[in-house]
Amino acid sequence: MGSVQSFVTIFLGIFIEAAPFLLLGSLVSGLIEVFVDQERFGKLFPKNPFVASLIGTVMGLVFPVCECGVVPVTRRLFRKGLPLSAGIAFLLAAPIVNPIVLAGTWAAFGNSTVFWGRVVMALLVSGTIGLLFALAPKPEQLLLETDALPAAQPCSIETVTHQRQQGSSWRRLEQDIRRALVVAGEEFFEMGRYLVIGSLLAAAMQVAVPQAALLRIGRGPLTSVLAMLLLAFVLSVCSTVDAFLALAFVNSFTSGSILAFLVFGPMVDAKSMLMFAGVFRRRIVAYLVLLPLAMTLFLTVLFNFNLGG
Amino acid sequence: MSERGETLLRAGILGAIGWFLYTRLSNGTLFFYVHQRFAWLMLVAAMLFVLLALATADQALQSARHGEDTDTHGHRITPLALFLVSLPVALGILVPPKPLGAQAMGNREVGLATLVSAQRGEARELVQPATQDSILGWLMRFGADPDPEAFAGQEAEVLGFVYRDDRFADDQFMVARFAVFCCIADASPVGLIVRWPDAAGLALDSWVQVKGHFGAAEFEGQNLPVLIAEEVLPAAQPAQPYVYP
Repeated sequence: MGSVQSFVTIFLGIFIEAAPFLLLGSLVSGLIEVFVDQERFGKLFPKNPFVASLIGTVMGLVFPVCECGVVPVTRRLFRKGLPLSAGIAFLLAAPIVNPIVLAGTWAAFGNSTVFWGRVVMALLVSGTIGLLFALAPKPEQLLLETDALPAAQPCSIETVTHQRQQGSSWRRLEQDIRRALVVAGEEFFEMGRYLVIGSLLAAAMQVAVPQAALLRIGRGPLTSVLAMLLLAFVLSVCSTVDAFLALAFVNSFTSGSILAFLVFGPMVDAKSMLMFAGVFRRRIVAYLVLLPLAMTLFLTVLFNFNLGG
Repeated sequence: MSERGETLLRAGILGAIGWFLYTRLSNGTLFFYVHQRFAWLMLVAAMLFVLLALATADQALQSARHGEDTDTHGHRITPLALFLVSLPVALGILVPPKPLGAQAMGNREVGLATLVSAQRGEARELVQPATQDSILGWLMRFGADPDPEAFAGQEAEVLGFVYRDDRFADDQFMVARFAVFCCIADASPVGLIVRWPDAAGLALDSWVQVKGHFGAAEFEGQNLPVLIAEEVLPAAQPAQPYVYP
């Protein structure tokens, strides 16, 4: 009975911590739906996938979202014509390369190799993977059917245009905001279900996986990285605070493994993996988990060997 | 279920999440789940949830007034999604709020060495306990000075819950707290080993106030500072059961 209590408490802890961030992401998504013009937005991006994915990696500076908020925003931007390479790069980079998370990392680590390593590796991993996706023969087929997206129905658009024709601009703005709030509410349910399943999964793993054993794996340049990658996945801690958590491991773990925790954790964890399933086909979700895993592993182990543990 | 019914249900669930966050925030039990520094964020979120609920309910009522209640209109949320999103509130109401306790320590298995070293070095700058006389405060001092004999004779009085497993001798227990950085997903146990003749008789998870002095003793093959108790009094669970490094 006691472990059921712990399971529920940990589940609620993860959900309650993530819910406000998902809510903010849903609100941004609702505002994008109503206020971003699809035709003009699509034209903002260059045709060159290399440049597009480069832009994607730094878009987080404009849309400051963590790993829960980024999924609904990316999904909505795809619908507004965001190129796939830019979207993938944004999805992976934004939870790290955004003002809030950068400030948190700076507060925890200061001007150090960990801070700069986190930024550089995040840009490298997300940019490369965005580019890889652009090479797919039919990029548009990687997304789930768009009819699964809220607010795409002609009827609702008619209603909006109908309302737009009548009344002053203030009235129009009010209508737009109401509409954005309704879309945000729908979005919260669309993504919230994955957040709930992901939080259940993370809580179950927390009750089942002995953490101390994981942490005892040791100081090896490879084993420490593997342990921290697994820990990042299991803990599913929000990227806005993970730097402070990582501080607790600084002295018992290699710098490379701390970087692995800080680079891989925000890109992929138990709950965000489930949320990817709401946007992409299953095979693509697997790539989105495995590619960052492989690249982070490679880069951080290399880091350990070259710059010392 | 009609479209309007579904939309109203959605509004109800959004409102319930807002209400749940607000009530748990106002009676303090929300902090059994997340760090206190998120109080403002939770308040903002609670208000936004209520706002979304109102906007959604308003849409349902308006479409009813205009007689637009058809299946081709608007977006449908599946019953499964409705169920899943209402699950946290349902569980939150059905399972009474209780902070993490001895039960959760089992698989987090208090590795003393890990804990002490975690408090060492750079981390120490940031990790400042609320009171110097806390479990965390002592662990940090142990971390700063690896010689367990250095603390012999120093007096201490700490509050925590009772934890024991088969590594403990009959006259040993751990007085423990959970340290939380962000939310309890990252909770890690911190504790002091206590020597007390009646240790085996203490109920697991019960809160105690321990008064005594330190002496070096062996635990799991390591020489550690152990609190030799003069007094172990039952205590009430504090309003804030976790410690925030």
